[in-house]
Amino acid sequence: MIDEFNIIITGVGGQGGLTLSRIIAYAALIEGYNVRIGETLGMSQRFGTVQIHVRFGTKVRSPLIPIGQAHVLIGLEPLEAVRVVKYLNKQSIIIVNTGIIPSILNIIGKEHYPDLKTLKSILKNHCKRLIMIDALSEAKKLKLITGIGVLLLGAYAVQSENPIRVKSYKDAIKCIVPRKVEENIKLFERGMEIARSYNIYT
Amino acid sequence: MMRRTAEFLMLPPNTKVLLMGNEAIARGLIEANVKVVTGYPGTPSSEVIMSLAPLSSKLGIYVEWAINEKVAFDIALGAAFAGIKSFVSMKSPGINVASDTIFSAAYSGVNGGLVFLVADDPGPHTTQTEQDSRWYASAIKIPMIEPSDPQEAKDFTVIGYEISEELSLPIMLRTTTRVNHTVSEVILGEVERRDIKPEFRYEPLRYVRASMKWNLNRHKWLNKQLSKLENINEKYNLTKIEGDGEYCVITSGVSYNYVIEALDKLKARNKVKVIKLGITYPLPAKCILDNVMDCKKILIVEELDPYLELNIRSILHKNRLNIEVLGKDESGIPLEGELSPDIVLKAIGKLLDIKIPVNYINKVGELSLPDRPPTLCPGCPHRGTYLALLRAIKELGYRKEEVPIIGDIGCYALSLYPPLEAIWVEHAMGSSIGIALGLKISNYDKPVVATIGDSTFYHGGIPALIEAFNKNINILVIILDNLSIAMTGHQSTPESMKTESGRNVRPVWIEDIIKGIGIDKIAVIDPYNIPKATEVFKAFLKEKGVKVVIARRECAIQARRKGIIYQPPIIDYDICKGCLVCVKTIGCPALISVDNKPKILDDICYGCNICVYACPFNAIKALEAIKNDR
Repeated sequence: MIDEFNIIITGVGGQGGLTLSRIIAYAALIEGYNVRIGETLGMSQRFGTVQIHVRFGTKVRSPLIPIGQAHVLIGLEPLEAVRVVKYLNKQSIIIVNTGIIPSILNIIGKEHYPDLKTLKSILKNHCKRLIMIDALSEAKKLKLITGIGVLLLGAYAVQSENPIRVKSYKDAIKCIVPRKVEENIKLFERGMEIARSYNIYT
Repeated sequence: MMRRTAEFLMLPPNTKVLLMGNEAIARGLIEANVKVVTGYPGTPSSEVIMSLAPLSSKLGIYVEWAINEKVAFDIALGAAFAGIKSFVSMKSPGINVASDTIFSAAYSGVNGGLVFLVADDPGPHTTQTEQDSRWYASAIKIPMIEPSDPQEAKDFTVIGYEISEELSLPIMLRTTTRVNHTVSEVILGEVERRDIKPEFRYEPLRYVRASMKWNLNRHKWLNKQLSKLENINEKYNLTKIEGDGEYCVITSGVSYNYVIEALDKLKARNKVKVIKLGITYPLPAKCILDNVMDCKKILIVEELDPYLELNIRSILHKNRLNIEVLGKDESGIPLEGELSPDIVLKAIGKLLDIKIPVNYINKVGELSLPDRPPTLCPGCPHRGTYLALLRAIKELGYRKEEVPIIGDIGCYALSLYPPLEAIWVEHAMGSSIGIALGLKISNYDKPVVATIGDSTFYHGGIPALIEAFNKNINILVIILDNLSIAMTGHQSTPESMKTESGRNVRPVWIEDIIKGIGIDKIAVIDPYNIPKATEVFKAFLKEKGVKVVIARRECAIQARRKGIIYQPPIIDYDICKGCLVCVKTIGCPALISVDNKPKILDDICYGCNICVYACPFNAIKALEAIKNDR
């Protein structure tokens, strides 16, 4: 059994980060771990920042991940992913959606949304492996724009460091997702497929 | 809310399920056989009632939101007088509203158990102040218990009822966001099944606070009850002692988890004695003394005020124990914000005088990244109300900077952000109207506007509106009625026909209340109809006396859930000059600029057509006329 495993999920309100956190936690529970989810939501439903700490393992007590201790970052939005790099270390794995969501300040021209290349290079400096996927386009093909989380989770599930069985993730999806279970499973599998053929040097 | 919450709450004893702290409290209420559950919504406390309400008729529990926290507490107290177990939930400012009743309730005591949740918000994440409500327990003189995780949130709720009935006192269940909103595995307990018939005996010496002699006697009774807490602490095992050594950490609530993990990381579990307090008013002085007697140094780990620290220093002083205490001034633990594993790790390093391993130190620093403030949603009716109001102020020849718009608590406070930057003040539930009155009473010579949401108006705005009419002060009051308590998760309001428990209720309409006061300058507008709304605001801003506008339109999130959604408008790019006035003035997440031209994001556009009115060249065309039935 693992002492401590930490996954940080970030994104914008409405992207499905909460559901994703429940899926991972439930999968860990199926595997016999104790779990903790700590949510920093603020007024997240209103297009604000969402950060969710998912932790499991025999020694896990706190709902928050200590700085530098996240094994995985699942970023539903690239700028939000960069916002949490202090939780990462050189062994971390980042799976991030490339689809940007401008903030209201970007929209009205008060602030500039950073260049995607800049964001990518910051992320690259804070991990062992960075996988960037245009998850929204994939999710749109299956008419499930709230499904980008399960797609990114699928991409993580095939990484050699993933401590949870694929079957447990799928069982958790079936238990937690309220609607369109089959489509969610398909997106999860699509994520696995994309990651298997992903060239990390791109 | 996850699909399975209601099912999870009904699973048999000894099942391990994934629950949020608030859901765990809801399960605790089921296990303790609580029959009356009420409160007022407020993050981070709302999910207790939200998760329990759908089970109301199945379990035979009254689960309903009340108009405000004081009324909620009064209801729970009445039930508890009759021997029925009751519960009240509120966020921290809620106890400011309810405390008037709670002070007296401590003297009367209860028959059925009464536990009330006060959810503080260090951070703060969603609250106007970082109020430390622990002081209330000692000011009111009622026992306070503090769980540290979802499992304890459930267990302490159940124990809270036992203590409440044993001492005949209401019990304060004090939590913080990191307990309410943490999700973890929870092992369910037995459900008590006992039918209790309400009984209420005539006992004025106990229940009537009009005789000063009786009040003095009840105060003595209360102090006697509080003196039993040391035994209660022992009986229910509320204080946890772990480890041993000459160093000691005293903590409570979520901070306990940070302490244990920090000791693990520093491999110091065997060097340090941890005293984790479950009851924090009154403090179990004897238990603390027995355990610190042989210690050399004590570190106190607590969020916000030095509440434990001052009490513990006083216990040590009274018993002439000269032990070094690392409190707020000495430990580096801040008075503001919430704690984190890192802050606690550092403080424990200081206690033990050891270096923190380098991999736990923040090497990134603060990156300067653009902010992402929350914003009004696409289709939000508040956007239309504020745009029309700002337009009316401008068209009457006033500068924006001279007509104060006093805001109130709710989603519409998000109008503070660009581009609207509408409200000048936001303080406490219902305060907008009174503050606006004060400005006019002190002869502020420009118009003053109060903007207040529907539920906030019911909660605390009505007395101030009566005051305004009675004193005949010139103000414009806009009631932004989106037919729900949107910000905290769309709870029902007194205007609803049906509540979350499925109960059919009788709607109380805002205009009936206003007419009842005697106010005759009243208009109901549709916030999506900007030209009409602007006209009404202009007319009312010019008039004397109290004017009320009800801006009524259902919250777009709620309406969308019911399938009410309109076609996005279209932009005629032959007419569009690319001035981007639309994008820059309305601030809608569904209207962005791409290559210096506006673009509507059909995926998230609600079709409210507010942007149609923003274009100076009529380049944005509505495709669908919008109905407004209510």
